[in-house]
Amino acid sequence: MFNNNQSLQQNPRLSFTGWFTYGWLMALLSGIAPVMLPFMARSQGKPVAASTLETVKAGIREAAEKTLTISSSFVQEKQMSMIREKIVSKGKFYFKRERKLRWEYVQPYSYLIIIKDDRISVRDDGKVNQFSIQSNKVFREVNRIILGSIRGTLLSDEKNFRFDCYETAASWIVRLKPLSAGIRESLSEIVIWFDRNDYSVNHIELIEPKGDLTKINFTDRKTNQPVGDEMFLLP
Amino acid sequence: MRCFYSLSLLVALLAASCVRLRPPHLARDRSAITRQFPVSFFDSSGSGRLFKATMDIKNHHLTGVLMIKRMNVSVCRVVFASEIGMTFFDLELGAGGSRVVSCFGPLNKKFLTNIFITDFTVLTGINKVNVHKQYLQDTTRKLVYSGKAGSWKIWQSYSSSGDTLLSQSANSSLFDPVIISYDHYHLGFPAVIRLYNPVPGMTFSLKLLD
Repeated sequence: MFNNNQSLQQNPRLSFTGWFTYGWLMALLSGIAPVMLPFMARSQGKPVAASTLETVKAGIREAAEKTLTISSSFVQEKQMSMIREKIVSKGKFYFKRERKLRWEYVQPYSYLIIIKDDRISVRDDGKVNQFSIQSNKVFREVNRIILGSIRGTLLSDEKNFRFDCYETAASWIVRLKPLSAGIRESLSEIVIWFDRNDYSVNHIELIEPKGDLTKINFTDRKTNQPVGDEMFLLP
Repeated sequence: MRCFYSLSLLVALLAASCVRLRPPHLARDRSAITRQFPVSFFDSSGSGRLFKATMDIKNHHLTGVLMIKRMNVSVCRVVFASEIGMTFFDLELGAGGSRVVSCFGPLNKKFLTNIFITDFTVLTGINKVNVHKQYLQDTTRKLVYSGKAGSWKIWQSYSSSGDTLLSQSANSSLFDPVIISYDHYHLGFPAVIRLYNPVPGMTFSLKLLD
């Protein structure tokens, strides 16, 4: 991850938008992503009828409102365009309402992010960094997108995302296209798979403009089970 | 502001001119050069090497994973991405030329991307090196070779037995010198690699993951 807590606010050239602008905009314009996407994504499903859409949105909203805690294992797979190699990492994550998140990679490296209210703690290879989420726009946005994806609350963010909904036998699939230039420079699309029965999120895909793709698959997910506050303290 | 930029340029030029790539205390060894030069750790076509990577430049600290993959005999791909998957940069390095496939906005400065290309071109050994001279370091008994690879002038230091590459330094211009050190060898591959660019004061630390 990126940690420039000392200078983000001092140097306007290093704002979140600035960091992403040029490369991602050029990537979007290059047209590679639209060509690659159909070959990379999971089954896309068929578009949801307008009459069903409100039901899906309400179901997702209701599930998000009822969610107090989440704990889950995850497998993350980064696929790089034009390289057959994948980077696979595994870990666990814990969420506790309102703003506590523990996102921990255990394989093939050890990397831990804890977000507790306005503080971010990162432990990388034994080294610990702590800073305010307000001082780091990148983390603030990443936090909002990741948490919003897991909880499904990103759907109500119509200011920053346009979404389309699809369905398969097992899932509701929501494709979120960022409207804000700042996000669009780093992500061309976020695709979230919700379980058709309980509206829990079981799969996320983050698609970059050049066609690189990060898939996060959640397993062993537990909702509203006790999660102790000690999970959000650095060991 | 103009004064500040002039001063920065002057400091960078001073720093660049002070960088010494040639290892000290060398005595020319005029015996025939018999060994293969240089060692390239990224020769095997088709397989990628994955590292945990950190990049430090001034106050900025980026961490993630870095993959180096030899695509074919003459092309190598280097991708640096954050732990959560976002690509910082993606380089395609070739013996005939290199290009930046993608680069995270603020890193996408010509000055920096040229340094990335130098760093990873030298590290991957994508350009065949022509050996010019062989030396023995007086104090350490290390074997030192100098040569050229494309537009890069290269110095390599080996252990006294000549079988382990310890470091190499290279540059193609005053602004892109790089010093690479190799450590913690396991099964003939360095598990720890450090790249240091003295002009911007930038360091890459790589730890082998696979």
